[in-house]
Amino acid sequence: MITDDEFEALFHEAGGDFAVPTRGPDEILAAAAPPARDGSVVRGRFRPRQLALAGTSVAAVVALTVALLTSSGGSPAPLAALGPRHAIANTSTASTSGTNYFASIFSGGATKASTAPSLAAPARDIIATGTLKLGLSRAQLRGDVARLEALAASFGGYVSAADIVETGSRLGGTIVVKVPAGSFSSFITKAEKIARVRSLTTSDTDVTGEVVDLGAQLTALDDERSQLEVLLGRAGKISELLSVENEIESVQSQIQQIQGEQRTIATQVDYSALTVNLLVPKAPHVSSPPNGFGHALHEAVSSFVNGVKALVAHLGDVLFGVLSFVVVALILFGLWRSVWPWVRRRIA
Amino acid sequence: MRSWYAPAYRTACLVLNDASGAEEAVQEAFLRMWRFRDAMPEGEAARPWLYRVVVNSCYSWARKQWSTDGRRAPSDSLAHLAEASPGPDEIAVIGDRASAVRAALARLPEALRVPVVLRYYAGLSEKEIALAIHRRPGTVKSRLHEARRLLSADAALSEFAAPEEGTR
Repeated sequence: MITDDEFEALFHEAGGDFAVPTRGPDEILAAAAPPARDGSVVRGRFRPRQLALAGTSVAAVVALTVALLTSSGGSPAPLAALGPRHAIANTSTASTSGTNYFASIFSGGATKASTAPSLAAPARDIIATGTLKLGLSRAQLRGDVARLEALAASFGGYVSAADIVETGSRLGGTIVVKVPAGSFSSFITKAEKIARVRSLTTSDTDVTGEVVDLGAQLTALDDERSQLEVLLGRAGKISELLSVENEIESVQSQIQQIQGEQRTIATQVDYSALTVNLLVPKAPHVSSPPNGFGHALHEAVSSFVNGVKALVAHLGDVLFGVLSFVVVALILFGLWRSVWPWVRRRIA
Repeated sequence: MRSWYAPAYRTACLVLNDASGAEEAVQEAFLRMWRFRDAMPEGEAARPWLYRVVVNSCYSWARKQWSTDGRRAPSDSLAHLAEASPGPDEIAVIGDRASAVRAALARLPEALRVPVVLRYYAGLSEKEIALAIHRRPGTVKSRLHEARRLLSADAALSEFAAPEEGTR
């Protein structure tokens, strides 16, 4: 088994065996040069898109260098031409060029803050979310929901989802408020004052890497589509044409998918979501009057039972009368049977 | 510019085993870095981020090759480079250790080649490689282990490593 040290030695030997082209960095600069006026095409493997990007970056590096050189005595070179997104901070403390900045990172992993004060602060893509639990009284619910909506609107936000329950003893709900990321903490501070806070949790997710990845994928797919479009122009047969068109369609679909993902992430980054749980204490249980078919059935059964009971009660009365009559009749009959012979003997 | 160009270029060479491709990939990588410089993380995360851009550019270049040369599977985009590399017999004739390493690397699957280059040439830690290739550290560890196993078993490399092992 080869040890780690041996691997490192072997790999450095193998890597060092590749002669670094001295024209490599120069080629980037050369690629950015304006095309010849005689209309000839710039030779090489650089495509127009790459040329444009190379031009932008090299122009930025040159402008930065000029700015640094002139910062001690003259005014900094104007960088506004690069556009707002690519503008570089013109700080008087600038001492390191962009190229040295990359160099320091590759050579020793030095931090950005210490080596690149002249570059603009990096924009991080953060998705901020939070959950706020508010304890309310039953009477406050509707009013507090309205207040939260108004508060969100005042920050340029909106209620993206609401689920308010107001049935029987159940009362409460959840609303999701989205506010501009810059106002998220201010919004939470004000929302906390609306009712008693039971709990508050917030979290930040850094999606910078995903954004970069998506951008890189998009660039690669754009390039691939450009190549396919060139191939489409060269296709001679119908089958070739259809095949290239299918490829373009597939690449286009991937591009649209990535653009969709970018839009989704951008929305999530731009608008922070706060889930507000509205907690209302349970009301004492009050049985509600029954209604509907069940109630009718229940009433019918009750009436039937009551009717049977009434019938039995009335039958009992009748039976008692009959039985009393029978008993009296039997007594009278007994008396008549015992007295009648005596009466007959007396008469006789 | 020249001082930072070299490590990135050589990393791309080892990944792609193609000097002109590495040149294009690194050029594209630096253009991307410039374009997305605002997104560059600070501190220790910056280095893996930069290598990540380089590796992604290598993938893009390999994909373009696939698109131009023929209809190969995208997941196998770098595999055809290995096919073009010299075999062990040829290496023996050349007798060059660097060539042997490059050939052994080219025979590695793409998923193993990238982390092992980042580890032993670029000098990234497992955690940094995980950030660079957007995989979990555990995955990186297992891939490095597998890559080491395959490289150690590679006939071209074992020829050079065996005497050193015997001396220990």
